[in-house]
Amino acid sequence: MLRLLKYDLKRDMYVLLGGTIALLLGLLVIELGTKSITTSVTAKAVLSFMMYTFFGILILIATCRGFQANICSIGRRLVPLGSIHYIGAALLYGVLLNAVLLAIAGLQVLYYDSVGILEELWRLGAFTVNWNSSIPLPLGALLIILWATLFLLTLLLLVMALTESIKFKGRILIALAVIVLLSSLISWAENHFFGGLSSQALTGFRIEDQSQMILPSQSFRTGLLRFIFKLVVGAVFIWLTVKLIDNRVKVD
Amino acid sequence: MEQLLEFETVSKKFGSKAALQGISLSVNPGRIVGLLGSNGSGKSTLMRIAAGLIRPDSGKVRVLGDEPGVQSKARVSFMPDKPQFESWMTVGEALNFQKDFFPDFDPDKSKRMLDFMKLSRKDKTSSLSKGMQERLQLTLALSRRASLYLLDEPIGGVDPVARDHILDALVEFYEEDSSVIVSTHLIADIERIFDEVLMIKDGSLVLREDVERIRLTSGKSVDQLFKEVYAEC
Amino acid sequence: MTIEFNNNLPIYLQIMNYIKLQIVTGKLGPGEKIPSVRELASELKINPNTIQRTFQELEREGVAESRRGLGRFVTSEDEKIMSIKKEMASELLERFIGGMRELGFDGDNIVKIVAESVEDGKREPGGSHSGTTA
Repeated sequence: MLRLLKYDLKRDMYVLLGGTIALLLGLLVIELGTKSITTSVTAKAVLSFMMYTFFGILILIATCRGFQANICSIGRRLVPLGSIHYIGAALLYGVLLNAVLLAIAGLQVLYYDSVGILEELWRLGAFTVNWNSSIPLPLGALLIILWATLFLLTLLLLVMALTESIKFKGRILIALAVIVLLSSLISWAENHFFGGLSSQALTGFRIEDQSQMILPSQSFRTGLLRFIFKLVVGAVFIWLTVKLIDNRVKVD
Repeated sequence: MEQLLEFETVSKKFGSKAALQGISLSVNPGRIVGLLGSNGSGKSTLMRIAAGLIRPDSGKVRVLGDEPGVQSKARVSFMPDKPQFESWMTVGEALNFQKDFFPDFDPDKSKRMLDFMKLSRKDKTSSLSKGMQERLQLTLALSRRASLYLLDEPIGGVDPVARDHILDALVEFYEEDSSVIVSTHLIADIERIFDEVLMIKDGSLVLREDVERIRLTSGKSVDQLFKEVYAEC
Repeated sequence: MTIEFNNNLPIYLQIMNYIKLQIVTGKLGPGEKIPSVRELASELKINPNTIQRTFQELEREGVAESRRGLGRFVTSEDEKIMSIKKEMASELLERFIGGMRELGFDGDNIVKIVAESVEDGKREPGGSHSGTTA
């Protein structure tokens, strides 16, 4: 699995380096460029946040595309490893890159903290955080986002394996339909069983009024149940993906 | 002796097209077997099933005594008819990939083969000619000390001089106690290295014979016999 | 060494003949070591099993003998080598006579033509014995 990941990273090395540079440049432009237009720290924070979201989505796309290429690649499929390893490598790839993205974001938060912007944002009520857990907030946020990424990826990888198993046209539309269907099904089940407002697969963060991030707070018990529920669903997705790769996905 | 490869009434369809129709065959250790058939006769499908890339619809397949899977992949070296290396790799990286994933990879042998094939580790795979790509493919496949080699059209797209070179490499570097199955439709160039041939047509086995016996009893070359078999219908 | 193989004939027979020819012409002396299967296989670009079979046949005919752990050797019996020579000569003659008969020569004529050819060959040493008929 790690060896597969190594070759994924080697293959995408230049794209990843380029992406990182683009992200840093983008943040720099936001930081310096907005100075002349507006002094609003909220605008800066929102723009930065959008930047991270954008790159987070790019990472998901890159992960899916790499996975799709791998499960169809003859060189990779000849390797004496079970199909679960392709999934494992893709999940690690996505989580690892997201962790790097979050680390960069963390650095920015630290910077904001040191120059007092964080305090100002707090005072302006740009975002509110409801966090009542014994885990420190930054670590909690990190875990929630990575877990959400991981879960979302199990769904996306399943859909990628599904599209590679279908021969007829319109695969992309089917893939999108399956994503929408499955994610609403999951959130419906989640709400039904555990209550709550969550209306999307990508729970963890919800953004309201574009600039308010709310970390869901819930009692430890329902949180754990939710977690187990998603763990089971994710495992089922992975199992289905393995079956599809073994039996249906055609090697080029 | 344990049979390296065994097919028992194996069938495979792609959509409505039957690629293999109840084919049965076996390959003993220490043999170089020619898998002969025209394009679309099912050679590649047969090889890919043996390599564990495709599952048959019905029938039994045994590779080294087991169903094709993770374990057989570690002992079978398959050279596909398409590049197995990725376009971003250099020759060296393509070899490293093999080395990382296959415990039977022999770095010393790969070095000798690189010299023989006049390839350099620094070469970019994306800039290799078709002939050089096939040389690299063969190097990747034969640098392993596998029990069974499956070579899908190793001399398919190269000129006669390169063809000779690839055949020389094959005889020079294959492991004597293992078996090699070579699929091809270019028989005249390669028949002298075979022990036996399997001829398949429309997904069925039409002939399995020792090549020397073919020459001895019919006075024909394998190539001639092949042409006769295929002209029948 | 290279052999132009004829794919219509069993390869092992062709290699046997080749080795016999080498013995008869003295390129492989009596008692001399014969290359190993592997060596010969990669030299001739032939499947090692075919070479193996060639050697087995050669041993069966008494042309070669294997010594445990040392390899295979040409027989050192002069008689055997002589008999190979005769065997090859008779094969050649058979083919030659058959060909001549197809051209319409009878036995006496064939002998005469051969005798003349040999005489010509003596007068011009090294000269080609082209089909001169007097």
